[in-house]
Amino acid sequence: MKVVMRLIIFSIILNMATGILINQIVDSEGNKIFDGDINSYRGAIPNYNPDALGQFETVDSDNLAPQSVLQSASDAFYQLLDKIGLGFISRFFTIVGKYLYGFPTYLQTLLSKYIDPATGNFIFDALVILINLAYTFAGIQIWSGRNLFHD
Amino acid sequence: MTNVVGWDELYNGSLVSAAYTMYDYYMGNTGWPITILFFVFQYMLYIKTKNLNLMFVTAIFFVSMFAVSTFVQPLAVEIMFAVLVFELAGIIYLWLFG
Repeated sequence: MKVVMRLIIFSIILNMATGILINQIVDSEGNKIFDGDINSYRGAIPNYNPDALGQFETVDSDNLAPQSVLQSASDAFYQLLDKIGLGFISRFFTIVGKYLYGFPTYLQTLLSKYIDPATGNFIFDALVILINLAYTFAGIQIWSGRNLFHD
Repeated sequence: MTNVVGWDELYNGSLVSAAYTMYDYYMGNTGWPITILFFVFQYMLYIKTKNLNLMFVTAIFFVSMFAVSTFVQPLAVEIMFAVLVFELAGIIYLWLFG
C-alpha cells in the first residue's frame, strides 16, 4: 500500500520535475538548455506532445446528423450531451491511467532509444505487470482491510 | 605523415580540448567522455556528502558550462537531463514527504 502510494506520487513528481527542468534551467548565456529547439544542439527533447489531447478529440469529433427520417432532429441534441458526458468520463479515466502507469511510460520514453526494442519491450512490460500486481494487492487491502504480506 | 590525435590542440595550447579530443577519438567520437565525467562527478559527490541538493545544484552548474562549450553533444545533454530529472524528483519527494 505504501509502495503503491509512493509510486503514484513519484510519477506525478517526475512529471513536475521534467516541466521545471525544461522551462527553468538556462545556461550561462541565458538560453534554455533543455528546450528542444531543433536548430540548436539540444535537438531531441520535445517540449510539447500533441498526442496528449487525442483521446478527447476522438470521442467527440464525429458529425451529429439524424441517421434516418424516423429520427427526430432533437435526438442529435441528446447525442451531443451524451458524447460530452462520455468524453469527460473517458478523459478522466485516461488521465487517471496516465498517473497510475506513468512511471513505466516515463522510463520507456526516456530509455527506449538506448535499448534494443525487443529487450526494452520485455523489460517495460514486466514492469507494468509488477505494478499491476502491486495495485491488485493494494486494492485487496483497501477492500478487505487485510494485508496479504503481513508486514 | 600526420600528427597523432589531439596533437594539434595540444600544440595550440588548449589542454582541455586536447584531452577531450584524445578520449573522444578512442571512444568512437560519440561524446561519452563528458558524460562519464559527469557520472563520476555525481557519484563522488554522493559518496562523500550524500547531499542531493548539492548534487543537483552542482550538476546544473556542470550542464550550464557544458551547454555553452564547443564540444557539446545532444546525447550527453539528454543523459544529463535524465539524471537531473531524477535528482529533482528525489529532492521534491524528500521535501514533501521525507
